[in-house]
Amino acid sequence: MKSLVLLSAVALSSLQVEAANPAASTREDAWVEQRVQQLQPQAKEKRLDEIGWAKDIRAAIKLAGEHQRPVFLFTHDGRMNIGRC
Amino acid sequence: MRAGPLSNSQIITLLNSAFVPVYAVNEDYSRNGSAPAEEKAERDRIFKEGYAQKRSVGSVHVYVLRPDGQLFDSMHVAEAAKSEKLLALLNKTVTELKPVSGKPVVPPEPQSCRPDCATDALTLHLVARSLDGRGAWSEFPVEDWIVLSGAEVKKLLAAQKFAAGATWTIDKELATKMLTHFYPATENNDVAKNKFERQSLRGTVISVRDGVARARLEGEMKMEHWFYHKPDGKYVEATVVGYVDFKPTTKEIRSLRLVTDEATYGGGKFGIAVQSMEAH
Repeated sequence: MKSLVLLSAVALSSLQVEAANPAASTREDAWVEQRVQQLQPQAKEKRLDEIGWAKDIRAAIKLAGEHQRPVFLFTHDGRMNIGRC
Repeated sequence: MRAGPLSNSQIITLLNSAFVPVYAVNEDYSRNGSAPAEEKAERDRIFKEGYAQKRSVGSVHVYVLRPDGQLFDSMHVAEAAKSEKLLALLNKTVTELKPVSGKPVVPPEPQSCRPDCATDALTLHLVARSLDGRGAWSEFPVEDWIVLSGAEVKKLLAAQKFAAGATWTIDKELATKMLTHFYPATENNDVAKNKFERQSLRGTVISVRDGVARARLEGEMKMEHWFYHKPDGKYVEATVVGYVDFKPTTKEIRSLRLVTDEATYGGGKFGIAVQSMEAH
């Protein structure tokens, strides 16, 4: 009996059970995918990434001493890296 | 700052070539924040130097330190957010301190990164973008990273059996964990303050092919979300649609997409896109 159930399960998966309304779901999926791509941030919206940020204040000060450069420190509320600030 | 001076080519070039740039998130430096004690002490030391030098000091500020770490100058964000003002401060610093210019000391890299998580976790990347410039900030899209544990992934795929047509309601707590991030760019980003008036998220198996099932995700929500940190009667109202590809036998998710079809907030329209990210 167990073998019969297993056999049926294997047969079902290999039969490629299709959607009740595949045309509608395909259209929706394509639209969803397009929507995901359309909403992604563009490079010009993430110019923050073009700046070489130090990990934290202590790391910045250590690097400043080693490279004889001043530190630019911006303190802020929220998460500037994801824009939630 | 991000949409203004920190997107300005002259400022980016100057920061990379003559400074060591760093930003500090105030929440991390608060008493219960995640920053190490030594790091918090360093920020406090800079503030104290500012007071001692009778300079502008505040939590949302720009500070310029000498190469030895001592405070050189400071600027309130209201001024620093004007590119010409910040540029003047940077140029003055370069003129007076004469730093050794060259390549960035730290190579630039993406600042919004996939968080570390367990191998069986599902990492979702969310983007929220204003579609009409109304009701919320709209200078640039904002992001979130949502991590579902292995147990939550199993809970997400809760159908009794995965055959075409099978439907199930997604666990409310789990749906909340995802949908609470469905809001546009606002000052308030404390999702604990969000209150759902209604929400629903359900799955329907559309197909099972070569051992991989595809389920359609559909839902809707109405969530109170304050623009600032006090009640303002503003709500997110949205319908959502998407799909998830997974192995029915193991409930391992191959791909997940979830977007808003229609979404409004504060009289404006916005869009949300969520996609699963593969581990690197």
